[in-house]
Amino acid sequence: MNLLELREMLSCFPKAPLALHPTPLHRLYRAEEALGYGPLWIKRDDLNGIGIGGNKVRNLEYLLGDAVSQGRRTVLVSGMEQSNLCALCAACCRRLGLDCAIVHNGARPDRPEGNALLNDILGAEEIYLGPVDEAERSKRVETLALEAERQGRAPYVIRNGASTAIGALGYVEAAAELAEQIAADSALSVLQTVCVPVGNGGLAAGLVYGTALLGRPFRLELISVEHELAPMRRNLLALLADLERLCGVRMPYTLEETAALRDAYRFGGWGIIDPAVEKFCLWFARTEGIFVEKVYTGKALYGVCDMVERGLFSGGVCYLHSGGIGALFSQYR
Amino acid sequence: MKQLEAFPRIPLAILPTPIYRLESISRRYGRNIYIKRDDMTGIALGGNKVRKLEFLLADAKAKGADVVLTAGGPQSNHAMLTAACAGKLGMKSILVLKKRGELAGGNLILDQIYHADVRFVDTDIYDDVYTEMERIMAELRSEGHVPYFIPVGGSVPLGCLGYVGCAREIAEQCQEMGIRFDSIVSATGSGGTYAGLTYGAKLFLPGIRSVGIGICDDPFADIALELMDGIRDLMDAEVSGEREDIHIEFEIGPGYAKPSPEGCAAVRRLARGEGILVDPVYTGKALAGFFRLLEEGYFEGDGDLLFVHTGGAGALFAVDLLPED
Repeated sequence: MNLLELREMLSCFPKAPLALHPTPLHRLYRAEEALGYGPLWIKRDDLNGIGIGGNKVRNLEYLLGDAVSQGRRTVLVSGMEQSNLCALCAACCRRLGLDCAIVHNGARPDRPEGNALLNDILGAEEIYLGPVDEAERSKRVETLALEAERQGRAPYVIRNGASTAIGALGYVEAAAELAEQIAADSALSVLQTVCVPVGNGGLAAGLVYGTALLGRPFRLELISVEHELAPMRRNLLALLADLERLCGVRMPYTLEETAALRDAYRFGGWGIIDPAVEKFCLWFARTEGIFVEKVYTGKALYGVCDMVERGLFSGGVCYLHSGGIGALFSQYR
Repeated sequence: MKQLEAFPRIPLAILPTPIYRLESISRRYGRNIYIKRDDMTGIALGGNKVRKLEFLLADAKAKGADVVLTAGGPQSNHAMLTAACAGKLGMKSILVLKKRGELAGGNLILDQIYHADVRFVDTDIYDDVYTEMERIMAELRSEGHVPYFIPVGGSVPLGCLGYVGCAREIAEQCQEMGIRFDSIVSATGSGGTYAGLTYGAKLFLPGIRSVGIGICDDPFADIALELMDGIRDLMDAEVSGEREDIHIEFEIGPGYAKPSPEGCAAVRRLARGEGILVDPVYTGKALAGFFRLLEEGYFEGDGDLLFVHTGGAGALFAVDLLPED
């Protein structure tokens, strides 16, 4: 499949344009100097112009496009208090004139910080469920959706942290965007590897699918910040199968032929803050002026720099900065 | 006239910053209203000061400086960005901030991330801050360091060149997009951005009106005129800034750096209408002033208008918004 054909395939799905695309792609000269390796690039998906920015906006372009095309009016989204998805979803809904209800597990904070503060400013309806786990939260969201349906509010539920096949279309498109940026600039012809963080796999699955369809213009490094290898692989394969069904196109290469999967940089898994990563986040901010937060982007970028130092790469390397900066203000005092 | 390219500049910002139409705000006021996203310069949480620092820090480097000193209020975005950019170029930074009472979080968190040496002076006036900076610089020199001094807001003619460049960038984008603006509106806290934009508009956007919204009660018309003379001399240009080029309106509320009901309402209106974040005491107040002028019919005719988002969202995380009505 060439770029035009991939763009045409994507244009069959309703999309709400929300972000300023393409996001910038630029060199990391100071980090190159410090690490003694180059060229290194960063793809700034943290800089897409809505709310405080971040990767989930790409997913939301397709999910909210789907909601609007079905005449849905109230979007239900769920996550922890500092969820970047929730704050971005609230911002995106505002842009589209949709109502947004955010369902959090945990107690309502006395003084909202970080992303919780942004939700307030955005005037989202916030529902705090108290101390329940993620499975229970998901159940409660479905109940709330039924209620909203009865009240005539035409609800649309964002499930699984926006990591569904429809949401992942946003990152199928990101693969096309990267390939276009590479084609447009001869300096980028040496770019061989694109590194991305993997949480529940929506971003990674979309990129893997798009990259495979395009005949692998670059190789992917998928760096887990959440699951170990086996469940990470299982999640990705399930999402890839969903994408194949949704788009009606089989992947011409397997997951492993398109990407390397890494679980050496989980640092204990989801949400756990490690001192080595904390130190690294400060180093990166002081070297490049760019923030990464400690539990998601920070771990993945730590992995990239560690692999650079171990000499695991050849050719140019690009890190995809997936954002999440709102949480930064709750991670420091 | 010297071209901007003749001046040493270290690229720090991702340029050009986007310009696009604000759909819900345009609908509300029945006018085509555009935004220039100088909050998306790509360093820290972004902001206008990066354009100035490209020239100022190039000068610092050329002079062999190893420590950069600047001043500001406790939530100064300028000071935070100076720390970020200086650090990126391998220079230390000392931020001398005026402070009364307690104010934590926001940009102070970012200062901490950037490992800036933050020192507070318990005062309301910058003369006290500058006296302290003189003392620190003398100390640094005696230790063999080479300090470089940047005043509040980076508002010296050399820094203003960043906004002369911004005006040229806007002119190029207008041509590409096939639009023409009647007025450009920007926040004015120390006068440098406004002076640069206004002078740059004279050069590259003839006929456009540059409106500055003062967020403190300094005599910005005089400050801007003086800075524009400085820019003219620096660029060796024929064109001078005239008093009739200057359009300053004020939106101060209860005082500098204090949230106002109008500013907080503007923060919420832009967030809820467009998904864009501004801080409540600087860009938010300028936006409130812009909305007020729109309501008062200040912008006659129906020409397109541009608001420059000069950044500063970091302060959003430190200054409590006033409750909604």
